[in-house]
This record gives sequence, structure tokens and C-alpha cells, in this order.
Amino acid sequence: MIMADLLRVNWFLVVILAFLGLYCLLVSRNLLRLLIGIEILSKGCILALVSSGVAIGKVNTAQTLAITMIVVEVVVVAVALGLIIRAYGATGSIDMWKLDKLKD
Amino acid sequence: MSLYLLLLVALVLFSLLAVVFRNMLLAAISLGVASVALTLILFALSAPWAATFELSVCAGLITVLFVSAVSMIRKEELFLKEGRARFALLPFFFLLFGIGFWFFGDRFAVALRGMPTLGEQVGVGILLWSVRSHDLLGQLCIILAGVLAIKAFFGRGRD
Repeated sequence: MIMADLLRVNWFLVVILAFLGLYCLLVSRNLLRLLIGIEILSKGCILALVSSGVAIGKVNTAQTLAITMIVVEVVVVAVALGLIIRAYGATGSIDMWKLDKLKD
Repeated sequence: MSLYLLLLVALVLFSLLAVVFRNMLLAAISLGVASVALTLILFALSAPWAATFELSVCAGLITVLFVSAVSMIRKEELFLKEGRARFALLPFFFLLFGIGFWFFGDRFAVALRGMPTLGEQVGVGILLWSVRSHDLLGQLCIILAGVLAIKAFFGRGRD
């Protein structure tokens, strides 16, 4: 397989991953699964970054961007999981639709 | 190259399983396996630094965080019943878009190939510490903000 075909397959994979993440975000009510959707989206982004870096012959720049993104991603996941645990403590559920206590 | 395609299939398959599994523990573990597949893909694309970070942080730390969060939550809450029937048509729209992208998405790749390559390939260390040092400052700020947020969530006040 030559490089152009490889890039084409990679782009297609990025689209599939982005759609999987978006589908998860749209469909799910489970707060943990929403985070999994964000994770899958970010995996697609990392693959897109590195693939485009390979395409233009600047893999190292793409790698530094990917490293930045991974750091941001792990902070987002840690903070969001903390929020989910606190919300679970307050409402006793991880259902997104039960996070409407402020209405009462 | 068939091994590479196998890795791509594994990445999509385990991401799909992470979305589909109703058991959250299995979903978290399949997300970790998808991260491992992405790591191997990044190695194959000759991006070892990003692959190492992906393996240690995404496949390791984030999976541990997910599993520990799952272990704190009652079992009946984890098997939350979600009404997904309303979204049954959504994958078909995605499929249509994907087929369209397969035929028309080449323009993106062509546009990328036409971009000029600016100068020599610089090492990752020089790029991180010299060229993109502002990124490091931003990363430090984000890590600090995350630590403070966790402290605000779980720290004990002096009341």
C-alpha cells in the first residue's frame, strides 16, 4: 500500500471515530459514557493530527501537538470524573436527566 | 501492511464496543484496548513520542481513572436503561456521510499533499522546549487548574 492510500484510510478512520464519539454524546444519558464519547472523539483528533503531519512530512510538529492534546485530555477527564462522582453523591444517580435539582 | 489494517480495524471495533457495551467496566476496558491499538498505529506512523504518551496516559491513567470511578458507583446505576430507539436512524446517516466521504474526501488529502514543507525536520525536544514553549506554559496552567478543581471538589474545608 502506498502512502496516499494509507492517508486515505486514515482520514476515513478519523471520520468513523468522530462519528462514533458524536453518536455516543448524542444518544447516551449515562454520564460516564458521555466521557467515553469525548475520549473517542479525541482519539480521532490525535490520529488526524499525526496523519496530517505524516502527509506534509512534519511528524514531529504533529507529535508535539498530539502530546499537548493528550495532556489537556487527561485533565478534562480527571475533572469531569470528579464532577460526576460529586453529582452521584448529590443525586444518587449517574443519569443525566436527574441533574435537575436546581429546578426544585 | 495487513497488520496496519488489522490495527485500524481493532481501533474502530473496540471504540464501537466502548459505546455499545451496557456494562461500564467492560466499556472502560475496551476504551483502554482501543488506546493500545491507537498507540501501535502511531508507532507505525513513526510518531513514537505521541505513541508513548498515548500508551502511558490514555491507555494507563485514564483507564485506571475510569475503573476507579466505576468501582465507586452502585451496580444498578451502571446498567442505566437508555432509550436509544429514537436514534436508530442516526447510524444510517453516518453511513451515508461515510460513503460520501470515501468518494469525495480525497480532496482533503490532495490539499494536504500540496502544502509546502517548511524547512528541515526538527527534533521533538527542540520543538517542545524552544519552538512551542508557549504550549508548555498553557499545559502547566491547565494542569494547575485541574489540580485546583479536584482540590475544590474533594478537599475538606476548615468548617
